[in-house]
Amino acid sequence: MNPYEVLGVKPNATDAEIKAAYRSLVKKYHPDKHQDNPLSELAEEKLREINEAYEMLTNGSYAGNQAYGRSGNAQSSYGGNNYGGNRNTSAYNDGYESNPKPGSAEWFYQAGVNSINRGWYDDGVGKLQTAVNMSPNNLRYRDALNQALNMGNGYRTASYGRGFGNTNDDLCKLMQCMICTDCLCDCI
Amino acid sequence: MLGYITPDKPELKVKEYELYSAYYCGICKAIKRRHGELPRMVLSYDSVLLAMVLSSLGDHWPPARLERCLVHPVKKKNILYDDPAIDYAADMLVILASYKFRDDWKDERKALGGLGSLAFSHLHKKITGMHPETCAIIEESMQELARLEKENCQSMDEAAEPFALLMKAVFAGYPGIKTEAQKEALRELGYFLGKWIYLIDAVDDLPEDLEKGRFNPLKALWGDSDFEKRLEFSLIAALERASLAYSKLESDKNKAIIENILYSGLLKRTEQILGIQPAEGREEDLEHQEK
Repeated sequence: MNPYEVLGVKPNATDAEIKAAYRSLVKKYHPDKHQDNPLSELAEEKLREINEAYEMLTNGSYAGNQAYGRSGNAQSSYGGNNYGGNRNTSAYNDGYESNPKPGSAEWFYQAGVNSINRGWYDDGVGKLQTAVNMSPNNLRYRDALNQALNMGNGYRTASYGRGFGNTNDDLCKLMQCMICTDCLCDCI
Repeated sequence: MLGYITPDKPELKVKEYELYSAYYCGICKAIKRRHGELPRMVLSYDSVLLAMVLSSLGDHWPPARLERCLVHPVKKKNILYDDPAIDYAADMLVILASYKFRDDWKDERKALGGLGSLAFSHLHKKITGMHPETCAIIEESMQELARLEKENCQSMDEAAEPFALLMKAVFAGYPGIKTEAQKEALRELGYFLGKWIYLIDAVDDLPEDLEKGRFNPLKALWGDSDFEKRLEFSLIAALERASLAYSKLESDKNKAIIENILYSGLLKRTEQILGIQPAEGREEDLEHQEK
């Protein structure tokens, strides 16, 4: 695959341009945007391609596997395994270390991600929050925290999507009006 | 297994409710057949979810029979028989009840706990013999739980871990699992359901535990302004992972009822126990929540 084509940048693009292109594509194909969409599988595949392309171009390594989120491919990763599939990580490489000093922001970040992956959400969010507090400018930490905090949204959306708890029938009334108007008026 | 896992009854179709009841009664009868009359009193709604999920792994539909029972001597009820999932759920229910009795006796010297442990002791041995690996994990988890209580653990994730592992073993210990993928999905479902049950029970019991000076992992967090937010987050996250895990089983059998429980019943129960008002536009339940 041609990583430049996938990210939509010229072969002589700068690092900053590549990063910007990556970020906007990730936002576009984020699984949360395509939950109830029949194209969600395509979006996931595209996202995988995008992540691969970015990796190829930046020679950086992913900072941990932050793949919690509602997607068809998310495998369970509590108990020490890491998620496969949906790797929606912001691959900002600033400060990534493989053996961070205990008590450092990076250490809290990685410990937080591990906690989240194993299902210890309260613990994980606490640690990620600490990392963010220690390094407020680190977007990677912030992204991870936000992703974790959005954990419940997919579930509630799925719940309302199945019709539970939603007795708001304004949309239904609107459609009724539209159809009646359509029948009565030729110009609609 | 404390009666928290119930469906959102108003949202169930009548046929779904009848099926749910048929499983419930089926488990009761299975307990009687396998373990005698006495253990039937520990029947709880939680076991129905276990039976339905495990039953969905197999395609066959056992026939339902109309029978009377002690509690309903007048009108006959539909009861499901010949389902290994129902038999397994019956076994698990009895062994977990037995552990609970022992725990109550050890911790608080409750008379019922003492009587229960004695009454169930031969059953305890029998079921441990039938499911040795699963029961070994249950035993280990209960001991770990006791240790954490003694140390007054105040981390909600750490405190919930033993029970989560216990339920993980219960779900994954079913002999009728066919593929590794199913087993993995069941492990995850069990783990997060276990976590949810433990936490929701901790929230529910907190006022009384505070009053009586009993152990509760949420005591330290109680005065915090963040209390409700943090608990809601953890509980919903657990439900998210549990429902994700269920969707990986990719089975249509019993799906409507299981999804009702996972997406509506448990959500409403979470909101009810945390005291959160439901979002605007939702009707109040026609029936009040059954405890």
